[in-house]
Parts: sequence; C-alpha cells; structure tokens
Amino acid sequence: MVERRLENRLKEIRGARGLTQADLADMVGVSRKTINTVENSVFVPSTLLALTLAEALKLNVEEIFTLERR
Amino acid sequence: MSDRTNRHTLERNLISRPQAVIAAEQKRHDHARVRGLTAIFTVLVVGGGLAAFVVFGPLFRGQIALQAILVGIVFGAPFLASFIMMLRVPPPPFEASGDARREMDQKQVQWRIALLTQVFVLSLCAAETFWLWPRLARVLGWISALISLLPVVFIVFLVISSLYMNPSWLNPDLRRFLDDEVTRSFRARAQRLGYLLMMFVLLGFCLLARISAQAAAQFMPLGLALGAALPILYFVYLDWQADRGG
Repeated sequence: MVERRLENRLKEIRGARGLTQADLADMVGVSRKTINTVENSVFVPSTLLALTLAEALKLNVEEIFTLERR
Repeated sequence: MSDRTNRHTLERNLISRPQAVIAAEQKRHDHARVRGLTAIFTVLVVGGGLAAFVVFGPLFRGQIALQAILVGIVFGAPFLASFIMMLRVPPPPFEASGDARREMDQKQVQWRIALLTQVFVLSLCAAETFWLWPRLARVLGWISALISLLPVVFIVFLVISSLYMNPSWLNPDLRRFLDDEVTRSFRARAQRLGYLLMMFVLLGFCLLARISAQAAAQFMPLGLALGAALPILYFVYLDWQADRGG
C-alpha cells in the first residue's frame, strides 16, 4: 500500500489572515498547542477537528488539508 | 426567544461577565500567595528532608523503624504539598476564555514540571533506599513492609496524576479543554511506552528470579518505580515539544 501523509496549509492560511495560533485556538475552542502540532504535522487531527477548523476559517476542509503521496 | 429575554441575556452578559472575570482575577491573585507559600514549603520539605536523610540517616543505621519514618517524611510531605497545591489553584471561569485559558495552559506546564521534579526526586530517593525495604519486611512485619513501599506507591500516584489530572481538575469545562485531542494522543503514546517497558521489566524479573529469587524481590520496587517514571518523562517531553514554536 502506498504510504500517504496528511499535509496542511493551516500556517499559510492563518498567516494570510493575520491570526496568531492563540487567536485561531480561541476561534476553534482548542489549545494553542493543538494548533501548533497540527501546523507542524506532529499531530493528525480528527475529522471533527479538521471540520471545525475549516468551519472557523470559512473554507472547505480540502482547502486546508490534502492527502500527499510519498 | 422574546426581545425582553434577549435584552436580559445581553444585560447579564455585559454586567456579569466582566464582574466574573474581575472576581476570578482577584481570586487568582489571592491564591497566588498560597501557591507561592506551598511551593516554598515543598522546596523546604524536599530540601530539608533530603538533608535530614543524608545527615541523620547514618545515625539511625541500626534503627530501621526510625529510618523508615524519616523516609516516610521525605516522601510523604512533598506528595501531600503537591496535591494541596493542585487543589488550591483556582480555575478561571471558562467563559473568560482567551488570556485566562492561555494562563491555564501555562499553569498546566508548570504543574507537570512540578510533578516531574517530584517524580525525579522520589525516584532518586527510591533508588537510594530500596535496599532498606526487604530488611524492613523481615524485621517489622508486613504492615511496616507495606508502609515502606509507600515511595513506590507515591511515584505511581504522581504518574497517574501527571497523565490524567491537570490544575483545572475541579472545573469540568477547563478539564475538558485541557484534555484535548493532542494531550489524549500523547497520553496514549506514553501508555504504550509504559506497557512495553513493564513487559520488558517483568521479563527481566522472571529471568532474574531464576537466578536469584531474593535479588528479584529486592529489585522489584525499583523496577516498578522506573517503569512508572519513564512514561511520564516521555509524556512531559512530548507536551513540551508540542508547546514549542509558533
């Protein structure tokens, strides 16, 4: 099976909107640590969190998260 | 919802929320002194206890009961102090959000560091005194032997506290907030490591017991302490790493 990895543009999108990690964390209702780990791909968020992030940023989830082939 | 109810809710939010925030600030300020005193008390107890153990320990070389009491004080007091410290930290109102939650985040890190320090000190004490426990069991009987195992029980309890509890344990909203997805994932990784470690430690004891049953029994508390302390170290490391940057 091809190994797949979840990539995200969260840092880029957040930066473009002038939001800090803490701001986004407040919007979503999670800790700053959660945003930090998702941005750095240390942690793969649950579907619930991915959808919540997309909703908070008023984007489709695919615009933030993409599946990359290695 | 009627206009009147809406106005009521709006007024309540405008008036009570800032007041709640101010009251919480005041409460936190008042309790900061208590936390400071508790921290000083903990340092004094740990430092004093260790100093007493080093200085007076040899004087009671023949008196195992007195040594056991000394060990109990060294181990028990910081444990109790840490627990009091946790309960005394007033959780901010969840609605206060923003700064208060960030502050809570920071407190969680401090809380884990405080517990980690204690686990480290207790592990050192346990490593230093583990030779005492089988002798106690022989001389003083099973109740004293059980009491002498308290350091290991404390370490296990501290590990469980570090993994599952946080400074806002008494506030269900904040407890849920701090126990987020990342924390749960890190906890699962630490538990996995703990499980593997315990399997290897037990395997080691099985092998050791074939060679010397007495040595296996003697080293078992130490293995238990080690198996409990390492996952928490890993958990704190993951947490610290996740908090970096950004």
